[in-house]
Amino acid sequence: MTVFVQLVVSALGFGGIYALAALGLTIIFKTSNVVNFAYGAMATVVAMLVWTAHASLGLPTALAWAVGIIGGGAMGIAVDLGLMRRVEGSPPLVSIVMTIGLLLAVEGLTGVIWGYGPKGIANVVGGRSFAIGPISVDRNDLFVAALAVVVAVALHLFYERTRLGLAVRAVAADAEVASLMGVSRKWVLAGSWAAGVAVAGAAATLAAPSLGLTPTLMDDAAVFAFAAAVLGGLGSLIGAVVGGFAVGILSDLVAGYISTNLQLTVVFALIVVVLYLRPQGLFGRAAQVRQ
Amino acid sequence: MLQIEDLSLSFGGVRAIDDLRLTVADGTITALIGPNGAGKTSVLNVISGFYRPQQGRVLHDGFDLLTLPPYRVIQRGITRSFQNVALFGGLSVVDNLIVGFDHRSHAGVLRNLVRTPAVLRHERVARQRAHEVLEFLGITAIARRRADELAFGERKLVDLGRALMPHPRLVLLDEPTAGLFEAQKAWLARVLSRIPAEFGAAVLVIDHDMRLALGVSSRVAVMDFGHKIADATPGEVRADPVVIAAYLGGGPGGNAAPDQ
Amino acid sequence: MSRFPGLGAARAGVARWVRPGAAATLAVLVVAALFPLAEGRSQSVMGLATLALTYGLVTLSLNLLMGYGGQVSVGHGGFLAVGAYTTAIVATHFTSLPFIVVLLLAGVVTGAVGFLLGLPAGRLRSHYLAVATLGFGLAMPQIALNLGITGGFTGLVTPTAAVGRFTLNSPVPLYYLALIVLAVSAVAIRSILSSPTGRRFMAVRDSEHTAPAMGINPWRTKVLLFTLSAFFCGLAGYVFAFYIGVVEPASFDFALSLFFFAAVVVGGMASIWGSLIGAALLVVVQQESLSAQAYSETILGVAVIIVLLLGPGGLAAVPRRVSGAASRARARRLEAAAEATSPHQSPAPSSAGTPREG
Repeated sequence: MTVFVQLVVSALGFGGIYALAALGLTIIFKTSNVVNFAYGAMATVVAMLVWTAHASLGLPTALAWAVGIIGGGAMGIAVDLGLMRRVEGSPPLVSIVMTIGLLLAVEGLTGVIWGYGPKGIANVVGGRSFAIGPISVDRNDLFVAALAVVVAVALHLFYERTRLGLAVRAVAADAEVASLMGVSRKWVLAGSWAAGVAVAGAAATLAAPSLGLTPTLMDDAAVFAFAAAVLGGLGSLIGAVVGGFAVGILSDLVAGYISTNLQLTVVFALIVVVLYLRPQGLFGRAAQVRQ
Repeated sequence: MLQIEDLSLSFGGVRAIDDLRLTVADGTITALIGPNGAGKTSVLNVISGFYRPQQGRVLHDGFDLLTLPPYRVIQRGITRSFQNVALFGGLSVVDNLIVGFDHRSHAGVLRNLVRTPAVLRHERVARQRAHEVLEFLGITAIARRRADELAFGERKLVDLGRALMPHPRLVLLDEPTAGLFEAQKAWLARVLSRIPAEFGAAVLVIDHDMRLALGVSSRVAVMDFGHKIADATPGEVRADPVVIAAYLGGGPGGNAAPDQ
Repeated sequence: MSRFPGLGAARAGVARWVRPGAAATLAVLVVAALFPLAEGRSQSVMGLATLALTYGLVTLSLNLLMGYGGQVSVGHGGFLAVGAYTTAIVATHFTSLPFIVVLLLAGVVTGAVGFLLGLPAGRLRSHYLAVATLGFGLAMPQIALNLGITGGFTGLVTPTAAVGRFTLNSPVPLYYLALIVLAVSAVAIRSILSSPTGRRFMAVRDSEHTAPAMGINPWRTKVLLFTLSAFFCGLAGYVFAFYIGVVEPASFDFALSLFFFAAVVVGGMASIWGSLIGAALLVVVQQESLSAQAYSETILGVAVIIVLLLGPGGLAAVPRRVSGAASRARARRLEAAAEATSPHQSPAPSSAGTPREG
């Protein structure tokens, strides 16, 4: 039993990362109905920027993070305005192809610019783990998990309680009405992309110490994040968080009880089962899914 | 013969079809008219299996169509056209037509792959049939064009042609003249009126064009807000005060009265 | 003969894609068949050519799924893995089976996997489908990593196999096998596409919602599509197993599936020749950037984006574009000339339009 609880607890860290990554995906999907397949690669760029700012340019951690987040946001805006706007209105297949092309291009460029050797990057929250009874809890894991929840709550409040958030939701539902409200669809979408990439970038930077900072940092994690978003229901914030932790815990249990190598497979099987039985996920809306 | 009995369909709180009873006799053309939102397209969607009603029966020669999934309806000899003309854009006009005939072939992948004599015969017959239909409709000139390169009027005709391909017993037409200009509408009316004689099929046509609906049909049913308010010959309907009121008075966006 | 009013004239067909006639196809085949006479001695060249042919079959199978069927797969490397592993396993445990049996088995087993994937996949919309296939492409090598029968991390050595007196483990016979399997598969796919089955695929692709009115069951159609696509990819897996010599999980990394996807998009969707062009391009790009995977990824990624921005059709559509542009220019010149010589006549009706309705 202790083993089980320990596994669950130590999954909090990765659960939080997947939840954050899934949140980034959800932010973009909520407004533009696009699944950004490249976001793992874009998130990695943010992590690389943070590293460059900190390790190469010697900036303090907070500033380095700011550089990364802002850079990520700028990248998101550039991609949205430069590419996604051009293929608006095309069938969904086109946006899928576009983001996959982006995935290749961005990951490739990351490799070209930064190379494949892993870079050293430290956890945001250091210090030893502390113990609660027989269970040891890592401080950083706790921080990440808490951060994920905080971000989710903040986003929820933004969408539900602020005028801008309402406007954003309006754009997603009906762009014409939104423009009558004085909201520019173009900038709402661009802003969503910026925010989505920034949040995913945070996830990547937090994951970098454990996964190793290379261009392929988010390759596997991206799949877990997709699984989380799909499980939770695309477009649902609470789904992203629940999904993220569920996937994190599940994969940790698999790693602990069966084998680390089967994590992806089990997660894949999970995606397929969920999509088959309940295509809209736990909290998603049914209308969106079936053709 | 098609018999609709006590048909009711609701979406959420909205009654799209309310206790409808309607008969389409073999070899006749029946028009279903009414103001916008009267529920006419919903009727077609129920007959062709795309919508499931809460109540009622749709009997075709005694067989309840509602027991069938949409992809089996065509096997009863019932075909349809679509209001938004969804052709298969990547296929040529001829191929679009042939798709309307393909359900006749029962060959599976393997037999299609090696092209058994039965398969070759199907292709030959299908192609021949397609040209008959193209000629009947007067659109032979565009046979080889890709469907997504067609003008709107051309598409509507191909949609109609596709429904005529398998020697249907009943053809359901959803606004076949919408978006066509005058000369095209007249052409279509002529084509429509020849369908029973040429193909032995009955027709149930929905349209806003009164002249066409009352001109080609032998029977007219009028719907308003989901129920049938008239069911008679064109002449009777034209003069029916209830019908006139429905068009001029009641509903939103006054439509032209039946005699215009 | 009476015509529907306002009917546009039949356009003299400008080919939509590269569509060489029978003569050109034959010429290409002959060149391909004679190719080893020139380069047979160079193992590396023959190897590359064989790889190109193998990739060609994969992209063909993927194009069947995406271009003709309208579905998405970002995990076709998974099918290739199933085919290759089936080959290695069967050949190892049943050494006396004739090669054709093993080849077909590779196809059939992979097809069965495709069938199983197609069952849930046939109900999914594009984004969800893409994610599911992504997972599939990653899961297959992972499963291979964990099963004893697949040799785990070190994988399996593809045993020697013979076709007559030619052994498949040497470059030239393998090249010919790849060529024949590809050619036969291409013919088979062509045949399927011009039959009711093929039309059904394209109908579901173009208008899934209305297809049932023509007697088509979209779900069943998609399941069949996945099965067929997987089958042909499995055949490619057979050849691939011999090409790589050792079948291990590392041969089927995630990037490979993405590369196939990119190759189909760039070469041209819904085009058999486009698939082959895409595969050739892929091999060239991979070779040129052998030192760094990063370069192939970047080039292919950028290529996909450029192709998307330029419009559909990929590389295979270039001839149409060029000749289309040329004929439009010619038409404009003719019209201008006609107007100049008779300024009082109304311009000839263009073939594109019917008058706008009132």
